[in-house]
Amino acid sequence: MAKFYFGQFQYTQTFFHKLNPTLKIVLIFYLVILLFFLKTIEAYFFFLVFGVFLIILSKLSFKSVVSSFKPIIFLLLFTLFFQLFFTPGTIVLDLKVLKITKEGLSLSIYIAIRLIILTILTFLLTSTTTTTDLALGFRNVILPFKIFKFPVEELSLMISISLQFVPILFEEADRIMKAQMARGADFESGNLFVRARSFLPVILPLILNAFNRADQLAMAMESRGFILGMKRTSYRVSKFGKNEALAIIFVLIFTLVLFVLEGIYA
Amino acid sequence: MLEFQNVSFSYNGDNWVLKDISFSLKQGEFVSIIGSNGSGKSTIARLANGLLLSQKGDVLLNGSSLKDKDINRLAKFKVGVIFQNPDNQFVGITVEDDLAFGLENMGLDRNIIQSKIMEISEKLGIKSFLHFPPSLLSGGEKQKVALASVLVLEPDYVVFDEVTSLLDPINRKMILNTILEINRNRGVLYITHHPEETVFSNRIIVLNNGFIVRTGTPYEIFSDVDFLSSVNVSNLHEAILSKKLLEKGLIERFSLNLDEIVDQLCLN
Ligand SMILES: Nc1ncnc2c1ncn2[C@@H]1O[C@H](COP(=O)(O)OP(=O)(O)OP(=O)(O)O)[C@@H](O)[C@H]1O
Ligand SMILES: [Mg+2]
Repeated sequence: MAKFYFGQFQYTQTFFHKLNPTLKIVLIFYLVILLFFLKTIEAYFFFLVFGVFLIILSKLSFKSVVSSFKPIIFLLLFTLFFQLFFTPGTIVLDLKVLKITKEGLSLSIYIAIRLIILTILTFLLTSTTTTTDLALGFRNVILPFKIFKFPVEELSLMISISLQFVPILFEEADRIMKAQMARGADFESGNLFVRARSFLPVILPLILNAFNRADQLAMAMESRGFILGMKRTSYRVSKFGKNEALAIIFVLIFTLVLFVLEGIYA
Repeated sequence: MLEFQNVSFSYNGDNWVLKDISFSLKQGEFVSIIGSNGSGKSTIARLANGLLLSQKGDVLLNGSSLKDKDINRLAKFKVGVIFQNPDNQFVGITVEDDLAFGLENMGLDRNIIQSKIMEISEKLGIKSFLHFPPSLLSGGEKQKVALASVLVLEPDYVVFDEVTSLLDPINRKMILNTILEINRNRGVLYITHHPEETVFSNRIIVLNNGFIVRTGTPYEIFSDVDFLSSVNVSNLHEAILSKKLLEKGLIERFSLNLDEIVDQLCLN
């Protein structure tokens, strides 16, 4: 676990990979909101096709798409089960104890497709954007909130430092675990509770260590002239070119088609 | 000139960690500080650019006290401090962002920031990994980046607090060469546990229990190994060996470098 990568960035350079991360975050966020305004099943299916198209465009492997569904599969089945059997309405199938209604059936299809599209969208974002770009993009996204006295610079600095610390803390956890194992600690056997408790001697030194590091980092930052809340300039600016304009137009057209579909099938 | 004038410092108000410390550092000078663990070396580093303020005495930058708010701010850029562990100094998510951090604090324009980053990364040979996250670099490369992040601010004085202690001999040599390079027009305050790294010093300050117990040239300091042991200075093997060989007439020049001692032995 010497090198640790955050997210599941895949190293190919496509249109979507190269897109300005700020715009990418904004567009994905926009699509997510759009998703919740749709009413007809036709529009949902068109959205799904669009998502699959983006995945192909970004040359992401089919296997990785499937594996990105693993974390939500339980959530998906759980909600489906409840919607399917516990929505009151016209009964289409009576299994004595459980009754499937027409409303339940359509509701669960809606929810399933929504969740699937949502997963595809987040997968697209995290697998075509490096953690670095995600953090930088996020900073720009929240930048406008500065006028409401929201501490944008501080928050983005916090995020970038946290990202900085993640691999270091993992390395450290690895080191501590090895040291404890050399002294006979066992992290693999026993039930969940026993195993969780055996991690305590790892977590505690890790937390102490993190505090110590944070203290040193604060000093290093102050030493380079950082004062919290003080005005400073910003080196990073995002490029905005032909690709970005194209992406916006593309998404606008997609929105238009969605609304037309909604109009026709409503 | 960076000057410590009768500085005493305490973290908690009653236990004095530094007692009546006075010394000065001019641009172009190399001053080393040695001393056992807890003798107060790092505390001096933190006082040097106003991270800490002394309760007694003053730290002066070109004659003005760092206790003055504006001078204190100026000192952050005029006196750079580089600490032991580079991992605890990175702020930027990429090397480039980290180099920009101090310059952003200065409030510089992004074009100027960019040209300064290019210049320093060219000079220190770190250009090829400007876009890497620091966590992917090797120990030596990390320390080089930490160095660059401070040097990019063009300080007149740089304090190095055990910057080579986590490095292997090859990287230690490389970092030391870089430090000698920048020493030409800058004052260097070099804190270390390794005697052989102090051979370039104009002066060595020996610290014990918060007191300066001796100041002198590398020869003056390291030829008196009995005194150094009495104030708990460690890593004296080369100094002891060199002194004994010199007394027996087996070598002609006092040295702290094992290779050099062997070379002299082979010549005779
Ligand atoms: N933040 C702090 N709060 C309280 N006491 C401290 C703090 N930092 C250091 N000290 C104490 O001050 C004394 C001097 O510490 P300092 O870190 O300056 O020593 P040092 O010479 O750098 O040691 P080392 O060789 O281990 O780095 C020590 O006794 C230490 O316990
Ligand atoms: Mg120290």
